[in-house]
Amino acid sequence: MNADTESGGAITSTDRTALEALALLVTLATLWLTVGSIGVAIGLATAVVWYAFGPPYGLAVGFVGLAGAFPTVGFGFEPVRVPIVAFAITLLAAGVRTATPLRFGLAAVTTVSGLAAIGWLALASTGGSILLAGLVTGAVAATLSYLVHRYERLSVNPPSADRSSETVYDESVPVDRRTSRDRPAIGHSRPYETPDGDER
Amino acid sequence: MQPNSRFLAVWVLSVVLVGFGIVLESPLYLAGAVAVWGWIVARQIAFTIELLGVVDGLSVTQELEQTTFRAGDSVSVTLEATLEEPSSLRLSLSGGVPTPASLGDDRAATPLALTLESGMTTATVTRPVAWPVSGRHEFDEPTVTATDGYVQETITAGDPPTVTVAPRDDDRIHVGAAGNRIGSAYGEHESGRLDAGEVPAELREYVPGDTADRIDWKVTARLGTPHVREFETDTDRRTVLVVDHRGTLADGSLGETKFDYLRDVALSFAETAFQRGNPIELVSVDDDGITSHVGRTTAGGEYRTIRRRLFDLEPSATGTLECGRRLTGDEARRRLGDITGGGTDEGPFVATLRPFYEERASGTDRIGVDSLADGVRAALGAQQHRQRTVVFTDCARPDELRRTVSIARSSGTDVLVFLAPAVLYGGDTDDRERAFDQYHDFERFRRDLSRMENVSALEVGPVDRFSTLLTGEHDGRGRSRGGLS
Repeated sequence: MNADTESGGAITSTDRTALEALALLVTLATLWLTVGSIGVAIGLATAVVWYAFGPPYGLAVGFVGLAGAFPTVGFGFEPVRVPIVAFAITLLAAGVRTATPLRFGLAAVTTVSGLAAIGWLALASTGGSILLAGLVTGAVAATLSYLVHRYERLSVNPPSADRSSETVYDESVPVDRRTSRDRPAIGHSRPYETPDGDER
Repeated sequence: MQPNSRFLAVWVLSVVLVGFGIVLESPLYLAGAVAVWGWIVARQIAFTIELLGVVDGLSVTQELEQTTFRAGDSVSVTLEATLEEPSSLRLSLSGGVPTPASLGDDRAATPLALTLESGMTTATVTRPVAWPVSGRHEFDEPTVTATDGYVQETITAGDPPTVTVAPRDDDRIHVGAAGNRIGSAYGEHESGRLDAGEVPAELREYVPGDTADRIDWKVTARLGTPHVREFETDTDRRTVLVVDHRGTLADGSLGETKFDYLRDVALSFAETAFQRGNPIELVSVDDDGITSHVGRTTAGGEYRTIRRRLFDLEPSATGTLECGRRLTGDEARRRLGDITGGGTDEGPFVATLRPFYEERASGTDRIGVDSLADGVRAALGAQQHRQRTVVFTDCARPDELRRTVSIARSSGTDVLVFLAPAVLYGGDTDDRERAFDQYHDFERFRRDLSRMENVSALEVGPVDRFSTLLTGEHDGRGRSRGGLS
């Protein structure tokens, strides 16, 4: 019963486990190749935390280990970019925990690419100020998160539904005789019984 | 979308990574934060997509085995949720049981709720719900809370049913005088004193469908063909129900208050009057004045309005809860305009206040009166018709009640007063001596009212409490019922 479907075929829970494990294995391998034996330790720690606390914590541990292994990183091509790409693949693998892994992956790739570009631009334009780059990318990320939140609220409670909750009086009841009882029920289609007598 | 602690913790994690990057001057920490933010946004999008699928495919029903029953009955309520496709979200559903209903005593109460775990497509729960309070009760819409473990959203789904809880079985209500029941059919009254008052109207020829007892045989014999005589209600002989729902009428336990019993009697009285074709009118009075005045007619629609208004009435809150005077309709409309400001997007503050102001803004402004007597005078003052006035109240204000009865007598002919003795509602009937004394005082007052010309006063209360009281009367404490009558 745990199967989730999306255009492109069904993904079972077994597939999920295998995809996640494969992504973590690739990450471990790239860390071993680029960093050496300490890279294996970083990869193992990432996998353990990933399964114990969840993907974001696994990613955080991986990047903390990577930063420890590469204390100085420049702007040119460097070996550190290989494990970074591996972590990006791992992030995509985290999508198999959701019901829509392809859309998760698309959103993750778009968000990470955009934020990385903004961060790189911020770093380049501010002469390598991590503080400013962090503030800019954090603000953009928070804005994106809020926009998704608003989109969700509007999708679930569209404005037309909000309007239906406004007081709409039964027009058959004279204005000066309406009471709170003379309005239809809110939010459902129960027919309203209109009093047909005088009411003072 | 409401974040839970796990979601916020991930945000904190990303901020910590940025902090490390700033302190240690390494952009790799920032890259880690970017990866975490990417996960957050993607997870939110995945949740939104899944939730929209759930909203489209979820069917929630809240059903009762019957929608009309008597107060005190217990009726099974079934909450069922069905998903067209299994979802990865965990759905928690809660049925909107009305406040007056009871799912059991506090310790044994099991909520009307169910959970659709990830992957499940259907779930059902059935709970017995007790209905101690008569009236028309509408269920709230069932709420559905969907969560993926990091964020959650609560939505409403399904149509809420409405139930009509009829007054409790007549056998549970004592209506009588001096401890003697006069019968269970309220509205039964002595012939010639409170009768229907039909007057002949017109003759017409018999048509198929008319019952034989409507044929006027004398006219038929005289004219040679079957004729039927139509009757009209003598509209000068109306019945005015004056229902007191002030704070003192709230005495008693849930569903067993003075007002609950008096309302049951009023409902039965109104029904009997309607069945007999008597025009009826309802005036209700609370601590702030006249709360409703439903005009007289024998039309079924008006009777339904009176019946519904009686169901909707509740004893007003006691003065200790009043923090200020009540808003007028105009004030409420102005304040409603102030807080909404014409905008469509409102926060929780406005959403909370809006129903209170709307209630006042849309309602008919009350006629401010200081007492039940003033209320009756204001409601009946302009009427010159012959009528009978039926007052439903308690004895908390005896002088005021005497004045009320006098006013009603002056504008009509007959007055019937239904009184709820305080000793039967929340009083300590275990102390039978004291309870009997209180009842004796009440009975003396009731007899005083009944001695007035064209006035009858009857007591209303729970049968079991009367039994307890009158058992004490006969248990060798030196009193007898003869002392009451």
